Amino acid sequence: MTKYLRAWRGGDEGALEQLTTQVYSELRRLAASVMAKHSVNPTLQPTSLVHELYLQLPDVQEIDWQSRTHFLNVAAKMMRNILVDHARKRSALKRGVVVALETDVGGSDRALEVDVLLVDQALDQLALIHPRHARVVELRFFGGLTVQETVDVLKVTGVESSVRTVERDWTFARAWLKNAIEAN
Amino acid sequence: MPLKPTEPLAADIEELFQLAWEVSGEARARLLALRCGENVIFRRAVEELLAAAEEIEHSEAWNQPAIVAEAASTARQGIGMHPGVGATLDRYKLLERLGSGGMGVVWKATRADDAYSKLVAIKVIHGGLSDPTSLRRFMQERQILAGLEHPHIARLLDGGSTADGLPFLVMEYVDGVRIDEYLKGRTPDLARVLDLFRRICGAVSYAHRNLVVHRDLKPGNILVTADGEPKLLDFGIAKLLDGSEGTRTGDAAMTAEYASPEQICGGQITTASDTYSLGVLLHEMLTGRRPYRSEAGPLGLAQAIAVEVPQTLGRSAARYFDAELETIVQKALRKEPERRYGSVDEFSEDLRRYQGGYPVTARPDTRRYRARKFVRRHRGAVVATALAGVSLVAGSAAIWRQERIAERRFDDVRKLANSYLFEFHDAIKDLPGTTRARQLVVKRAVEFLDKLAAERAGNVDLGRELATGYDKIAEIQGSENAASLGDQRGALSYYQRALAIRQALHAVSPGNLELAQELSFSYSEVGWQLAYTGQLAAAGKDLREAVAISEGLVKARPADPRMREALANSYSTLADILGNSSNQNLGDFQGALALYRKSFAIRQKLSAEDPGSREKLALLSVSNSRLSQLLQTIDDKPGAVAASRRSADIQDELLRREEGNAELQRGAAVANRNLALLLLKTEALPEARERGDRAMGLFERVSGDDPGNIQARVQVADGYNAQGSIRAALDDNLGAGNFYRAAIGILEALAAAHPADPPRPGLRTAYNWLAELHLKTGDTAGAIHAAQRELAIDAVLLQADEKNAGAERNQGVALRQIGQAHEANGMVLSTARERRIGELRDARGWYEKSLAVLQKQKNKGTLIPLAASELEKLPGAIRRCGDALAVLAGA
Repeated sequence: MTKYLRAWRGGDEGALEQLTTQVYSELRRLAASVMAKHSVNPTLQPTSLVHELYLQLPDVQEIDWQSRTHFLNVAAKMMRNILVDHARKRSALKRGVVVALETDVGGSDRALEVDVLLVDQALDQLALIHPRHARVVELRFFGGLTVQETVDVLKVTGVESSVRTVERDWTFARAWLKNAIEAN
Repeated sequence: MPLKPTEPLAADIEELFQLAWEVSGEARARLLALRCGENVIFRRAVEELLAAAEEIEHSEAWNQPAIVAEAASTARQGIGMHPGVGATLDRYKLLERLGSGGMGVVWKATRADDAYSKLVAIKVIHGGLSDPTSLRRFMQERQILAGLEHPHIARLLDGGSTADGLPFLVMEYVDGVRIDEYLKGRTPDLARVLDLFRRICGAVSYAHRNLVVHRDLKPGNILVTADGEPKLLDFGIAKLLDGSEGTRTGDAAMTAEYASPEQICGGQITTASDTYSLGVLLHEMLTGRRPYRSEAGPLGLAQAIAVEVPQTLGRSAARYFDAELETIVQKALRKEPERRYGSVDEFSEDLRRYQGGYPVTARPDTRRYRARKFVRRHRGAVVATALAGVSLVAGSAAIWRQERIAERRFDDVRKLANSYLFEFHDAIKDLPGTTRARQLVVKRAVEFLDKLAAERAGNVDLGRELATGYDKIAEIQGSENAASLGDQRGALSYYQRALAIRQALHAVSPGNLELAQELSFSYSEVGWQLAYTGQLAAAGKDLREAVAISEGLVKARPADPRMREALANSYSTLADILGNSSNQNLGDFQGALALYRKSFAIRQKLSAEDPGSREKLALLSVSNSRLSQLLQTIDDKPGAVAASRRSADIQDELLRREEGNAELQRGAAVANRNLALLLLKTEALPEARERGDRAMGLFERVSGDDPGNIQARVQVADGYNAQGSIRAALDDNLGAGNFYRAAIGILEALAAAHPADPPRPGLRTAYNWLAELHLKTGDTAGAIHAAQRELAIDAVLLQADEKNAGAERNQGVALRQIGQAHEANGMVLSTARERRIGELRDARGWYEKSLAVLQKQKNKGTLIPLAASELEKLPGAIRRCGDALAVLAGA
């Protein structure tokens, strides 16, 4: 995978396709295994797949900062597809009922609904009005990227950004989404 | 400004939200009132958002990535669940759930139709068939277990799949408790514990013989029955050593506490990894605690395992254990797989010997570890990033959390990366056997700095730190004196980067003396590296710069010892390029001598002013050794011996003060070897032999500690060379030949493994001396072969840099050696006349070539006295050949 990454950074557009395909299948595989483990042991915290995949790249220490950012960008975009896909399949099995999420860690508040499908739909709406905020949600929520990484990815795709902006966008976007979801 | 009561703009809503979010209570209410005025719609929109944001603050769900939500939803829905209690699985009835592991759940079951109702354990893969990885591993476990039959391994009885196609394994039911609980409950005596352990070893050893590595040995996988028999379970992530794709951690879900360093660092996993885990297990069985403990969570633990020294048994249990037992456990816990027991059987054997009162094979490490210096909790995040390839699952901190640590403010991150870089690196520099870990880790830290530098260009302090970071990497990659791998060219580029940064900084603040000093140092380092890669002229330029700057600094601060040492260093380094014959040099010997003397004078004074300083003594020793080399080159033997002896004595003293230090060991070895060689030349044979033997002993000790270290092996080869020449002087030709060949063996192997590296001087020396030896013993073919190898090496060197005086000189000598061999052939009376004429003609030809080369040197002024005596003898040799030819022609 690294060689495709490098080739693409070097300007080879065909490599992007290869990269995309490989990343996608790897992420899906990881996601499947995470789901499987989690189903048996719900207290197991799933790790961020994008980061885990990144670490699994051979020669990961050879990857320069720019390539890493591009990789994160590509991978985070895919996470959204993968998770939404998974959620659709799941709800096809159980008739699309919003499932309450009970937190196992004691003391936390009661059920708060976060269904990936609903977030996804609401996010599409948000993108029409506040595109940059929607992008932040895509990267942070679906991709699991950190604030700094989000800043990097935005910059690399030509969007002006900073840590402060991302944090503010993140707060606003989630509030917006929550309202949008609960309104329906 | 109050808006009209129309549909508010989305951008306005957002803007007001952000402003209102910053404040609270009264201020917020006022702000909203002010901005919204009568526009109720506007106000409500913003208020709803604010309310939502408040709730989100306290909600776990909205603060975790989507994958968590999705995984939880999946779990709630019960997808991938499998049968429950009372269900029938094929022929078996499930009784009780025993536990769940990495990829399956284990049930206690019984045969539904069996009169005996024999108990079995059934392992079911979870996740159903949707997870190809688990499925693959499951099938592999089945395959592995089917082949293993041993009293201490839980046996596979059967296998099958359910109606929905869910595969399962049926295994022997082991009625027992985990081994750690078993021991806790009973506190048996030492003999019993060792006995139990050795039986486990038997099982693991058996698996190894069947080419299976367990990879996950831990108390959870070892049960002890009521009869006290251990049983090994869960070959869930075992791997067949069938040579297929390397066992990398990405594949395995292991627990950190029992993982071996190579598992942590993503290296090759072999049977030695099991040996390591057994070592951890034994430690725990004997003391109730594990050899590594860390409060920084799994990542801190990973660091500890990879890098720190394990606790001794005595420390863990707060009581005394025999030193031999300690040593045995330590040997199993060595970081380098090849230094542990070669097999689990050996491990078990050593324990048997210990129990029986026989001597054990494990030898203690003689070093004193400075463990406390580099145990720092906060390094955890940086190190974890550096140890790429880690994938800890059960009980691991999510990488999500790790990133939050890295999200700290700029300065914190920088402080982390930087202090880590210096302290950690310096502490680890003197520790033998850790080259790879060091390299990995420093490179990562500099990556950090790189990134920061890009974000904050122009920051002077950062620039200096960054430059030093590059120096450290370069040092690891190619410096001769520290333990390192031999990538000199890489080192050069890093030194040059550091130099460029410092030049830029110096241009901006020329008055900053410390910066200037660093700049001078940089010039020296770059110059030295250039020389080492063969670019002598360029090296000279940079080194003169270094000298100029250093002289200026000493003028500015005459009392400052650091400035004076820096000056001494730059004198010495320039002198090295001018005339040190143990590296490629320009041939200006008088110039070099003057500079060495200056350097020596400065360092002698510095050391006298601070006699306790180890560093100053070491530098003084270096000065002496350089002086000695030069004095040899200009043929002042007594002076050379005196200087060399001073150097060796200092090195011995330094080593006495700190026995375990790899660098000092090497230093003493080199110094003694050089002295031995010198004494040979002055015919002081007894002392030569004594010093030579001492050097050899030290070389072999050091080389054993860090097998990845090219420099160490080169020096062993040099040591062999020295021994060879001592033997030759004592007329032990056989011994001498063996030593030379041993040296050649090592160096040729290195050359083959690293074809891009410049040829090593030691190799040429070995061939040279071997050729002389052959000439002495009359093996002319051997002499010619060896001399031809010399010529090949010299050709490569001269191609890289035609000013290489040493290579040229050696060429001349090699040519003479070939000539001498042919002459010897030509003088054999029993050979046919024609043949003899041919040989003598060849001999003359080779002598003439030699003459040409050495004469050229004389004309250029680069002829050293040693070579001058060669040159003198050549006309005579040529004449001799001519006379002999005349006789043969006439006869």
